[in-house]
Amino acid sequence: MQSRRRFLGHLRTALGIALIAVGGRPAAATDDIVLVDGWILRRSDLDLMR
Amino acid sequence: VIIDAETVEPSHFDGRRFDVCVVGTGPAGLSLALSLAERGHDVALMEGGGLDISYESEELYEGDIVGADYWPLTACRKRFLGGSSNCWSGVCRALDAHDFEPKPHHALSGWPIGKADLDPYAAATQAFLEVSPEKPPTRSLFGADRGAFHLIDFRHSYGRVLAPRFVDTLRRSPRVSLYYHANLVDLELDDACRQVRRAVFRRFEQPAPFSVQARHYALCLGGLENPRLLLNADRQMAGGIGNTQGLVGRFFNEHPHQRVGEILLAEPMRNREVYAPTPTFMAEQSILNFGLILLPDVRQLALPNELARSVACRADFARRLAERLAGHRVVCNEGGLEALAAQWREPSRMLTAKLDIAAEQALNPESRVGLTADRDRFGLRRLALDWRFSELDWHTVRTAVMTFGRQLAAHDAGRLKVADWLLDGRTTFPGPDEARVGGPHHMCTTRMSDSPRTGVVDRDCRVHGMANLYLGGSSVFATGGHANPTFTIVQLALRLADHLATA
Repeated sequence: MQSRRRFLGHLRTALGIALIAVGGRPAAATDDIVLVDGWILRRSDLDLMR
Repeated sequence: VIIDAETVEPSHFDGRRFDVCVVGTGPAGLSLALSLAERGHDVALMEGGGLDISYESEELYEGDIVGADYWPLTACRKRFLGGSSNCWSGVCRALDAHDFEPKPHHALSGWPIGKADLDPYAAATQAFLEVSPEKPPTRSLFGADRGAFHLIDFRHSYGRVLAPRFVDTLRRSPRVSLYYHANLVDLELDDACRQVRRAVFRRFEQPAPFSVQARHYALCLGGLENPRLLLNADRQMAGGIGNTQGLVGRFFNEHPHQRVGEILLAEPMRNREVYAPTPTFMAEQSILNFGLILLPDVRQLALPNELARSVACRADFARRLAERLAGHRVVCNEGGLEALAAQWREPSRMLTAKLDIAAEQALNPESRVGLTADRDRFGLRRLALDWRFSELDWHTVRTAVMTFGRQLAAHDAGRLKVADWLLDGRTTFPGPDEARVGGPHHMCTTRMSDSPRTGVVDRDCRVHGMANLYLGGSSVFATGGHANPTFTIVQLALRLADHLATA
């Protein structure tokens, strides 16, 4: 069970790295980035502050 | 051979003339002396301290901090066999090619030599320092679209404390005579003040000084003591040797090291990563070089307490943000049993990192090493360190941190909480009580330049105006770059050995 979990963890990490490597994460436009209370955030993060 | 200078008669040196007298046994002096000896040159290698640390020697490093807060001057270097390699972290990296190039926004920048002049010494430097091989980084937070930053590799010395590795070599060497407890107090010049005639030394126990004669002299005393010795040597030259333009001790450069923020990461990070600016970004923003160091929070369970507390008014915000980034549930350290359970389930997950910066400084003539009126036991005036920052230093750090934070968010690779001190409008870096301060890396105080108007040594590390006096170590750096300097120090020393072997 534990080795299966570890394998899945590695797989998830590898997939994550692969996604980053091909630019899979959507980049935000510069005007979507804001500085709030010292945090550099995406504007869409602000809903978490409510 | 290794000889305690306390035991020799002053007449020991009568009629003896070495090829080179190397003063100082840190990475520069040791590599220079051993390289010369390998080519059959007779070398007097002089160490002021002993074979081990002692109060009487370290005390000679006492001095005043008159500028920005800094460590006590006895705490950031060592004065016995091996010099400051005895307190070296072992982290090193060669300078980048663009570090040697002049920058239009950085007055006086640019070296008279280039990276290609030091590259031939990289392999020998790697062997001397027992440095791990280059391992180009494979992963970047930003993937192929690196934007303003590229992930860089630092190397580590396995034999970072040099002296124990070379004691046997020195003991057996027929070419190197290592004298310890030999404290350089003066350089006696010829009548024209163009050549060093002899170097004068004092000992702790024996009152009588002694002198050593050589064809060439190389001071490898470190970025603070090289200028201190030259400034003190003002018996024949007003203002000190090599100081006709008043440049000795000026342009003191450090690598300001500061904690600049904390990061919530989208992906786990196991090892520290360092990001440096691309040359294009540096030129576009008119900034200096730097390394942004991401340190995964090793004691992290999920979210560090202080980060949660730092947003106390919205304590849940950081956790919810972390969950959005990571795509799974995150608990705070304060979660007690719940946090322990999380650690047990996913012990290797590192979702937060500290962000530090090690930045290059602008060449500022007001940032300098000078002398106090107080004298040490040998009559030399003590050191006064006046470390200063300039607007370009601030511009570099602010631009680096804010751009990195924006890029993290834009790529959804993480979110940066910027350190309060960067946003509170202050105009000085936090002092040593609040954060790390510098390398400690002491650079540029006898900088290299083809012109005596802008530097103390020429491209061969020879003091301008002196026929046979050379300097080794990071005091000759023309600019500081951002990388730890020891690798470059040894490259320069081996290059100097090549020059002296044929001079």
